[in-house]
Amino acid sequence: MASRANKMRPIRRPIMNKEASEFEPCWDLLRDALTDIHTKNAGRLSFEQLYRASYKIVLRKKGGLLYDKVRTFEEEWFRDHIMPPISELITSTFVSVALFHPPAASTHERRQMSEKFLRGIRDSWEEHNMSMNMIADILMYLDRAYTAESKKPSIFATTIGLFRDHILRNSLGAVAQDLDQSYIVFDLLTAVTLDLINMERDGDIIDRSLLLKITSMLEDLYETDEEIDNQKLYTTVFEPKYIDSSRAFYRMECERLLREANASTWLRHAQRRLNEEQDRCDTTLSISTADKIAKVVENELILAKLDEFLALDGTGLKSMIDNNRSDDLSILYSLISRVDKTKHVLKNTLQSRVMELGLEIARAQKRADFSVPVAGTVAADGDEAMEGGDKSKVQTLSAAAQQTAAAIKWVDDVLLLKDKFDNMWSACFNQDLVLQSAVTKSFSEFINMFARSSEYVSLFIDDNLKRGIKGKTEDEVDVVLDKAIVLLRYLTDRDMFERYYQKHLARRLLHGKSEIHIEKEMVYRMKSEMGNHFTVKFEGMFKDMELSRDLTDNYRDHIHNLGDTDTTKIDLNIIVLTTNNWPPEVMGRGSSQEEGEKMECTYPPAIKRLQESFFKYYLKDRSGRLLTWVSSAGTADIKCVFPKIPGKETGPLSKERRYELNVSTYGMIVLMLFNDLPVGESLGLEEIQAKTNIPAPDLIRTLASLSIAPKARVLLKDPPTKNVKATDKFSYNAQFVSKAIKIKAPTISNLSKVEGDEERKETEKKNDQTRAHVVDAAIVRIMKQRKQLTHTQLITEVITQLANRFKPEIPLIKKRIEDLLGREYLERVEGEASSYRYLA
Amino acid sequence: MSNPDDEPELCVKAEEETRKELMGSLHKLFENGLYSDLTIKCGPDEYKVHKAIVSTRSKFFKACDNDFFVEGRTGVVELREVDPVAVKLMVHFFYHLDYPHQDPPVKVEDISPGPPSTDAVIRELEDEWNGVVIGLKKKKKRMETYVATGRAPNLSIHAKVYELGERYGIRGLKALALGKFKGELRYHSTSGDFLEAIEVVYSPDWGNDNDDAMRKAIVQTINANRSLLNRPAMQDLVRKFNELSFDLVMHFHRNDSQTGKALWGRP
Repeated sequence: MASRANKMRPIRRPIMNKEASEFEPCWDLLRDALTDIHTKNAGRLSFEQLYRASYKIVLRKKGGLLYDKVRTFEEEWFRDHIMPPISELITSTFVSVALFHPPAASTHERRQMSEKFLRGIRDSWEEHNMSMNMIADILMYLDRAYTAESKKPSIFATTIGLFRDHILRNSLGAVAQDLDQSYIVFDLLTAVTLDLINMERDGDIIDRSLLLKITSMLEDLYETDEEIDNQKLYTTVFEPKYIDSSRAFYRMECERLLREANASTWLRHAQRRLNEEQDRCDTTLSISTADKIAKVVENELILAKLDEFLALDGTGLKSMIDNNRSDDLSILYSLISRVDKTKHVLKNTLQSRVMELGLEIARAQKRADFSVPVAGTVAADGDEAMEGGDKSKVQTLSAAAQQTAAAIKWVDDVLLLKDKFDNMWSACFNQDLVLQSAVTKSFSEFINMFARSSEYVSLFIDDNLKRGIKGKTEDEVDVVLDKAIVLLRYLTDRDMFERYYQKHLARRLLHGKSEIHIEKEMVYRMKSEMGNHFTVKFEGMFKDMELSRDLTDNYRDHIHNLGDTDTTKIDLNIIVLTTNNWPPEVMGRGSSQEEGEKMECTYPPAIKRLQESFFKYYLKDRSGRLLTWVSSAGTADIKCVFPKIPGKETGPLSKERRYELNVSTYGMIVLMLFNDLPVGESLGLEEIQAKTNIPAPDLIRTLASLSIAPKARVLLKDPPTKNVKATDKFSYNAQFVSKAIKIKAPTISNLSKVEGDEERKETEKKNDQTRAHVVDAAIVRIMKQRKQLTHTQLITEVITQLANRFKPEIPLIKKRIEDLLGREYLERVEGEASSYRYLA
Repeated sequence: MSNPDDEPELCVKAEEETRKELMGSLHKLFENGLYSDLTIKCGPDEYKVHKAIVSTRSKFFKACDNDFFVEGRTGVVELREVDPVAVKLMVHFFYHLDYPHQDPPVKVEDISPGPPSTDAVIRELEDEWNGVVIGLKKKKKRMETYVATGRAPNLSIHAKVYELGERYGIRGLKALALGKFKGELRYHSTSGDFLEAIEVVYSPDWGNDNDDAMRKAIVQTINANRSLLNRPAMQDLVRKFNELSFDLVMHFHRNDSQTGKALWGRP
């Protein structure tokens, strides 16, 4: 109709009667519609018509009347049609089964009854909910224009709330008269729901979608018609009960699992339960419960008996670690991370396990028998020992070699242990930093509890650098060196390590036992790890080696230019060592010096001339320097000629034989003696010593290497026993034969070995002396800067300053303070207990 | 004046472009009824519309979509006891965020869906939805455009469209109709259409609009042009509608007490 038609409208005066008369037909229409909606009698209903009817009522200001009429209608309908079927479901049998679980009813029966009840609730809820939604749609304008203004709950809230008020909060009625307390239907609903969930936890299949409908219903209903957001029945009533019931369930389950005493089962079970509960929240309950229920499982199933489970024999944490049960450990880590951010238990157990296993390595090392060379590990040392070919010599040599093997084994084992925990850390512990630092701390602790760790680590590096030449690829060496650096990091007595490393490095350099670029690489790594001061001496040694190589070349050129070729050709390969860079043992300032006698051996005249010639050359550019010949550290290649044996026409003896014999400097001096000796004569040991002035132990070693090992037996010993004694006599072995032209006389001195107890004491003594100086220096440095400090402060500062080098013992620091007080570097502060002042 | 940073301008341009695109596609859907899944009927008219567009704008249409009701099963919503022209404009609005001016004599066939309205109007409309106060100047300018068109007033039509917005719960439509209504009111208060509009707004079928914005606009206009009350037609209306009389009295009363000083200040 066109708008103009409005003109034709009869003038309507607002008369109450007229409006009232308009209300009735509209309400009749709506009331019939409500009935149709409830009875699902669709057919003729037009939404537009119903909406228009309610709209009209509201326009006529009859909203309040409509509101009340609808409410009354719904209450009546609810009472007459919704409640009766629910009441029928609540029989006295069901009530007692649901609330008290009498043994007469099996789980199966209980489940059937529960599900039947819940289905009844669900059906009426769905019907009610659907109807109320539709009615709310029809009465939409009522809510918008009337309800909101009159501050009443919406028509939907007030009618949907009927379900809460008249069903859930209804008492059980006559069937529950005999019960000691009054239950409402809600109690029944919660009880059976929780019961079903527990059944599912026990492995039964339940109707999950049914439960979801029930919990959704509780989420749709609020405590009051105001529908306050956090007042959903699910949150206010159901959830707390669910949490309580779950707590009880898991408490019992945890106890049962503990009785079964299998931590592995427990871990998997706990993990499964966590997943199940999450899943249950996703599919059956509400995701809003997920965190809360997870907390219950964490507390009751994991945390409650955590210590007991981890302490279990055979499956506990110790066993997981020892047997590398990475699956168990991964689960354990993820569970512990949930319940305890500090991971206290895991951390402590890991630490104590590292300690125990570390100390076990040391114990096993003491027990172990290394007389049989361990394949690979001691092959290099074993070779030379075995080549004596002589049973007794094998025994004597192997005593030291065994120890060395043991040392290397110790390091290997420590590295294996480290690998084990490293792997565990990355595979199971998600590279957790807290755990890493804890484990590192324990490693450091047990390594430093082992007195010889510094020496052993150095020996290990020595062994690998030497064998690096013997067929290991550089990559392999690289891996080992990396590990060695890791171990180095753990050492607190780094000064001790420095001492040993210097000694071992010196041997390797002087005897060309390793490749210089690998050595440099190693030292470079140490430098970046420990700082410059740590490697100064090592770098000095490298520099000496390089300068000496140039020096040797230049000297050779110098001699060549002189045309001085008169004497027997001697090629000099000189290494000039700077005293401070090299270990005292090498520099001839070793133990022999302690005895007071400075041993200077007597060189053959040809050698002496050479020495003088070099000395002259050397001092040309470097006047004022003092060169000392370290005869104990050198080697010599001797070209020797064995004349044909008269009367022998066949075999190697029938010809003249020329060999190049590599011996120690001492060996050279000894052999030169026999050059001048008439054939058939012999020299006694004492005679030799008198002529050469070689220290007795060195001489015995030298003679042994030349007269016992068949490979280089150029001297004959009388009697031909396996040991060199003072009364032995030696003569030239004219019948010496060797398949190789170049022969290396077996030497013992260039092997790096574990120190004997005596040596060890010696080293420690020396180290302590050095430490005393270092501590002195540190104290003076600190006091000079701070002027005045208390005793405790000073001690702390000293320890901090020296942490990178070693861990000074408190008594040592105290002693040094006393000493400095005595020497008047410091004074006590008057009136202040234990404070010191620096004296300039 | 040069703007060193012209990126914002580019963005505005792109936004306009995309907006045009969307509005163009909506217009096409409206014109050819493609993908239509709902029919709105009113009087002789039928509109092929889309649930996605109408049900998301009006809870009424959303609630219709229920198999329990005839509308849900047949996919036809018949609107009764409402003005077909207003319905036409409402449907137009769903797709264009605006509705066109109607020239008298209004014939349904005459209303051809014009091109999508200018972007400015759309933006202003959105501003209103967002509760942003539009600058006075802007408002004035918009009002002047109504005058500039020099067309017959649509006051009663706006009032009916407004009523539909109230009835079916379409806030945007109400705001738009109110804006248009107020705009025309400034220049057409003496028209017969104004009287007609008063009939609509004060009829007992007028919705229970909470803020009564339309009625306020009418009362203000009468207050500003009190000579209107000299007209017999206006007097008839005041006599006819109690609520109009009440609103006017109350308005005069409030107005006088505010400007009381001028009227009663000096005895």
